[in-house]
Amino acid sequence: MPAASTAAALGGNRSARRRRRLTIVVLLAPALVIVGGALLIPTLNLLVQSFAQSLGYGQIGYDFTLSNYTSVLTDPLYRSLAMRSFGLGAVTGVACLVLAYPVAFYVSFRLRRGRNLALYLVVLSLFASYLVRLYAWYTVLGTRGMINGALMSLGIVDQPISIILFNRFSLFIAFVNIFLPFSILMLTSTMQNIPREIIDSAHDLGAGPVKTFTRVVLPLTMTGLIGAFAYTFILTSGDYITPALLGGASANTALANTITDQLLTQGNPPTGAAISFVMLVVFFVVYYLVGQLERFKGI
Amino acid sequence: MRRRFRIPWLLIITILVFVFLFAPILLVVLFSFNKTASLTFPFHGFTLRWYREVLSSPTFISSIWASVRVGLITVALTVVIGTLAALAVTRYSFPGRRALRTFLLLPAALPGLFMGMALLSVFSVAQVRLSLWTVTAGHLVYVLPYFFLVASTRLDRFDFLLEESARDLGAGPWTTLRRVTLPIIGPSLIAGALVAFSLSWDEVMITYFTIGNENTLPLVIYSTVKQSIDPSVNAVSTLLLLGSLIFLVGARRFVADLQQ
Amino acid sequence: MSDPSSAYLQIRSVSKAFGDSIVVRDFDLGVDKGEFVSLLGPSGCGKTTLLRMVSGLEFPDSGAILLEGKDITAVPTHKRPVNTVFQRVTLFPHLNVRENVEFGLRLRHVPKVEASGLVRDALELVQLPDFGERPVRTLSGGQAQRVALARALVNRPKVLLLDEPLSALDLQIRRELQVQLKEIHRELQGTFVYVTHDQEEALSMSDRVVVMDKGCIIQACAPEELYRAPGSMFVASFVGSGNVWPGTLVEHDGPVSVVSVDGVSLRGAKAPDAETGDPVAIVLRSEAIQLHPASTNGLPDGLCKMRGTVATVLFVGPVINYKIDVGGQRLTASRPSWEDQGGLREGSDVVVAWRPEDAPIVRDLAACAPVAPCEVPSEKRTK
Repeated sequence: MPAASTAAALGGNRSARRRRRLTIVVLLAPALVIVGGALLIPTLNLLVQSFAQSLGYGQIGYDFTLSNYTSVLTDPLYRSLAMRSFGLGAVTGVACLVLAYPVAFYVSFRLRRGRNLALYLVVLSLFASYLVRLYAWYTVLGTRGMINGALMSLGIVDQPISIILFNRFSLFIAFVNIFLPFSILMLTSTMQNIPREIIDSAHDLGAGPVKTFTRVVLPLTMTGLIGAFAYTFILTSGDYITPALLGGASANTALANTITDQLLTQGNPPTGAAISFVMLVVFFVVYYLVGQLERFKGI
Repeated sequence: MRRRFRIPWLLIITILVFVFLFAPILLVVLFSFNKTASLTFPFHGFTLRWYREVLSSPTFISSIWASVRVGLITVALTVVIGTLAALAVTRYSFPGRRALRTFLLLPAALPGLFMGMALLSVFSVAQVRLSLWTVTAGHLVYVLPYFFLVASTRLDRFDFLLEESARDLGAGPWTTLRRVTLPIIGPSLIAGALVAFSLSWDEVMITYFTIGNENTLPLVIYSTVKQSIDPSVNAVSTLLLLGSLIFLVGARRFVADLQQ
Repeated sequence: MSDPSSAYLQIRSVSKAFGDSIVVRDFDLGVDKGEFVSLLGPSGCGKTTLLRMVSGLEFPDSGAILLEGKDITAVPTHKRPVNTVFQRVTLFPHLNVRENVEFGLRLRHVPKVEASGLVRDALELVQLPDFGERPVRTLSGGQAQRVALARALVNRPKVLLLDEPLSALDLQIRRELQVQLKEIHRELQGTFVYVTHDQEEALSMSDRVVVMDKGCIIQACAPEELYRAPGSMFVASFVGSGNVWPGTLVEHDGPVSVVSVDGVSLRGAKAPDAETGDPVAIVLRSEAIQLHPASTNGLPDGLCKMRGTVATVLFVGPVINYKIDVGGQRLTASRPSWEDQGGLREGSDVVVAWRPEDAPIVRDLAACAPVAPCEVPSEKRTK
């Protein structure tokens, strides 16, 4: 009888829908709990702390105050620190792009048989331990390290020079070395997404290699460029280990170190939290701008 | 047509960049075999002395063991949780799906500083004792987005009509997963797991914040370097490097391209 | 036509909507045991959705599906005695050919010895007897679909569903496989439901063709009837090549009806359900048009005749298509290319003629209007 069958059909439909919804929730729950729990909750906690009072020695008094933010935003020390960290991040980002672009271009458009090997090597360098590479630069640039040793044995200097270590230049070199592989990968990925036919069309319509590059390839790789810059900028500005190791022992080498210093040494979590949040805001602004630019470019 | 000799600028730059990327590491490896404790040329002769020191030192051994434990548990959890989430996001469509995918990739986009600090403050507020377990939690959050990316990318390419075929032939949902879906995406998942282990093995930032009294291998290197110039650090670093690379080479066997 | 209430496979008043759009609308169909039925229609007409509801991959919003009298509407896919050959190649890439074909058998714990015999028979049926140990990626498109067919048939399904299985293949392979499929159907005497948008495919293979549009059945009859006596303007345009000229019914004149197209009166087959003044169309199949040189006299009286000029001549291979300007319309006529063309070329004056009984007159029915029954009863169908 049609009535019973319709009910059966409806029942099958509804229970299938309910089962489906339940399945989705069950599948997603653990990941959401972890990312949400480990990211959202602690971030909220930090946010709350940044508006709290510091009672010294790591104690926190939960009365709302803006003093942390005001001191952070108005103190010229913090301001110059921020300038230095973000400035270094920006310079590193640009340097990585400058170096990565030719390599990515060569690997994507000129190399054919060696391409997979080249990319594999880049990936390898990406995973070859951040720390070890850092340490490697430490040894190269240090007072008893490679460069000094060479300079002294060549007789150029009598005493080891220390200006190449423990300053922003050494940080710069190390950062570029560490983040370059990632920029290369991002750019090659973008470039490989350009179908061969588009370039052929450009040639067909009369564009030589230079024009093809400036008018076709470059605009199409813009998103890759911006993305690579944003990622490098953010991870460099917020890095702790590299400044700690190569930048000197001071707490004022980079923002990350100041934050950690406030949190762990000075026993002033609210200030540390406030600085982190200012940093976080800058990062989200950067990512947001990147997202907007992507949409604007229509890619 | 006469071929002009054109300077292959791009090739030169590429080679120089590769040298720049690999030279420092290769130097460390080289000097881990150096007879003397110096870090300069000339090279004084081969020795395995530093390795012997490292491998007989209980600090190093226990830190390696700690890294292994944290890595294994992190990867085990990551594979399960990440695969389930990737299945949910690629197989079903629901409102907010794209936002969710972006959300799950978030921890990879932020410096380790934040996660380390954020986790630390939560642990202190909740009065959880810092230990290798808290480190594992931190590693889990850090590594999950990468694995999720690998798994979801593979599943994007997976034709779900294959699952419908299996059901059509009489396989229930579980059987389909076991006999069709997992065997087909398996290699990618293994590659992702190896990558995940490599990431955890090398992680130092979050570990620094969330660790208690023990040490993982990267942390040992970090603290040793901060304190003194100990030539055995070269050996330790090489061992660390070896670990990361073994997993990466292993991963390559399972996946044709590791590109995201 | 099979009575839906007693047929082997009954689809009763099935409807399905996705969001706001109704994809299948109150669909009623009965398929007899051993019948080869095609669902034919343009993209989006709901034919694939209907097929998926029979296989269990979708559930209807209302209505029922019965197999051998049992209600299977809510039964999940893996429990239905129905198998599908899909449009894309869905062979499992991690198993070889033999493992693919025996997949369904293994799930039902058929003993190894018996299973390998069945697999061998199935592969022989699709003419791939030595392919058992081959990896799937070495197969061509046609071979892969044949293996998919074997994989489905080896389970002896009560109904075999085919969702445009040949649409991705080259023309020659498609033609070969159509013939093979028809032979397999004859040998197994199975019940096949075939979905396609290619009317030639549907006409050549099926016992009955169900023409669909916008989720409804437009006409469900034997191929010959659809071709010679289409039930509506949609069917006439969709099935067979022809000139479908809209006009108005003028009168019925004995065995013939008269249609006025742009002021010209044309005679076609009697259209009993149309009344004077109704909007209708006359269907002139290209192959049914006779072409005579302009100087011809003495053509039989019953023929409807018009004068025109040949505009274009297209050699297509087996036929020659003539585009003729006649009475303000453009007419396409086909002639076998091996016949004497009578000297017709571009610019020639020509007389086109047809027998009224060869030119059906159809009404322009709305998509889901009630369907007229088939004239050719099931038993008289050509097998």
